[in-house]
Amino acid sequence: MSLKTIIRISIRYILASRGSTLLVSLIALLGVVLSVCAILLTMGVFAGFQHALKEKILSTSPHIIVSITSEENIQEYEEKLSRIKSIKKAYPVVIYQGIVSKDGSLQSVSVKGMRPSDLFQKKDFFVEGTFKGGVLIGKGLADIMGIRVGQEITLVSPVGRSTPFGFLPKVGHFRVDGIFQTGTFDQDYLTVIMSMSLATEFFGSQWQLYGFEVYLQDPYKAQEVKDKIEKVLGANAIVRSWIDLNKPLFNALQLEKVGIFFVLLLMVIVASFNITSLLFMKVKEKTRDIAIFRTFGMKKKEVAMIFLFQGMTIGLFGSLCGLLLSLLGGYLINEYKLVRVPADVYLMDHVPVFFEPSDVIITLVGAFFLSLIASLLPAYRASKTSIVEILRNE
Amino acid sequence: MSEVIKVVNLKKVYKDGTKALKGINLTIKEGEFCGLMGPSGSGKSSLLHLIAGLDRPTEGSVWVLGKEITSMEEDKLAEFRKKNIAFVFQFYYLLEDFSVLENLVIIGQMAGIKDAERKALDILRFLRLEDKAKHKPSQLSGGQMQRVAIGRALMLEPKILLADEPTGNLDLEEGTRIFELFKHLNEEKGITFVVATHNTELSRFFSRIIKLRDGMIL
Repeated sequence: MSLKTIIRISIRYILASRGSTLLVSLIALLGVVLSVCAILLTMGVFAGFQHALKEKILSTSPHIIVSITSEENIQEYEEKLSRIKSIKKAYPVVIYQGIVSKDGSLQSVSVKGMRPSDLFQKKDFFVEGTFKGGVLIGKGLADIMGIRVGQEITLVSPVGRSTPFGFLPKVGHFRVDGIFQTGTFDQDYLTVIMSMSLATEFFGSQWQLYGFEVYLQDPYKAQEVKDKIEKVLGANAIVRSWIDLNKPLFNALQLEKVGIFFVLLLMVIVASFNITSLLFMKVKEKTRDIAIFRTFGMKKKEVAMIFLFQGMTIGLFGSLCGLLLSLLGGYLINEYKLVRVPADVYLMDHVPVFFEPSDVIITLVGAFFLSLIASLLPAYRASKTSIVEILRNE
Repeated sequence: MSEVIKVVNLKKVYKDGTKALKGINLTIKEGEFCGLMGPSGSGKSSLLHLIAGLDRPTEGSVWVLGKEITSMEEDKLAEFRKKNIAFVFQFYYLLEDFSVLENLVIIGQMAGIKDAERKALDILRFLRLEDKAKHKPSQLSGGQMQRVAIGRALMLEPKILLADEPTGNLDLEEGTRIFELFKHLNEEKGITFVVATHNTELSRFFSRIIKLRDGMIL
């Protein structure tokens, strides 16, 4: 018997549903549609958030950080880096640890020293003011400490000097020239930037990091470029890409996404129970037809397939409708910015929806597979139906 | 004429303890138009079900076209039935969700007939039901439904046609028409018929009558 005939019978049985069977069919279908839609939209919001966050980080933070371990001439390294084609720009930096003090409040910060020429290039970076030879502070730090452009802050270096009265930290007063925002917590809340010469003059040679902030043509090739840099600079450099630096954040987001996926998958499992009850109803309703098919030579597995296909059709159709509904939902969410979040916390005022192909495939295959599982028991029951018992009961 | 059906010491006891058949021995030859007659509960339907391989006997064996079907594996038996045996029921048992034409076509497709639709239309024309092809079974009269059921059986081109009270739900006039159709198929196509009925008025059609009572042949 051809598969075409089995599918034809299955489809007709679905379409010919009446009364309570029709109602249960619609409930089963709606269950699959809504659960698939809910999963896809939730995964879409998660993926959208991750993408937006990534873009934000990539647009404002260095893609690769190179830490030089030996104190050779930094220009030599800069030249070596400039020869790597994928690198757009490599800024030499020196980073120290320090404490910012303002009106009695203290905050431990990283003090980054950069070349003034490089700072002038970072125009999008400033929220207020610009570099004039003083210091620049992150927006978060400015907010929590109440610092404004033009005010003076006190920087304390933990590397001080020993005196007859004990250890004395080095203290300096600097004018705030500008406030910047990158979108990353570390930079916005815990970083002060000044010229490299001023930084080395104030902090000396006790730096925490001496090296480069590297920006790439294609930030998604960071791992590849990282390998190249390691090769070129050898053992003198410790190279970390933005992927390495943000791994804990993205791992946490991914873990959360996977967790939510499995919780939402329970909805599909519950929806597939509807398919099971529907098919049990159908088997009961069609016992006479089953007896006829079997009398005219249909094999047990072919009878089972008629009911399996019904479950699979509902699963497939429901999943596809769920996909369409989620695409529509995604469009509306993106178009009307429906998922709004506090911009100062999340670096974005709304979360866009982004459908990862892998999420869509896993959800659709999962829903279809669960529908198949849900159909197995009723299909088995149908195949085991005794012809004579049906005929005798008529 | 060769034997097409051979029943040896056939006994059937149902789960509820009903002893339907109590040791039947029977031989039916090719081309016979055989009537199984007896009152309700005499075992006519049980015997037909066992001959068709729809049920398993408690004891004894059934041979159809030289093959012992009682020990045959279920799927092989289904295949064997599809090629050789067709069944007509008292209550027609048409597929309600399908049209008259589809009722025939599906059975034809199940049997692997290539141009099942053309063959179904030919059969409906032969049965004078071509104008009902697109109708649902519920839109037909009892006699028409039974003719569709016969048409469905003919789709398999069976060597043996078993009919269980095929006129049980029809009036005498309609019943006679059905029997005339059976007789015609028996004579023209050489199909062996075993028809269970308790209608004595139609017994004139049979070439041989087997009388059953309390699960035994009289």
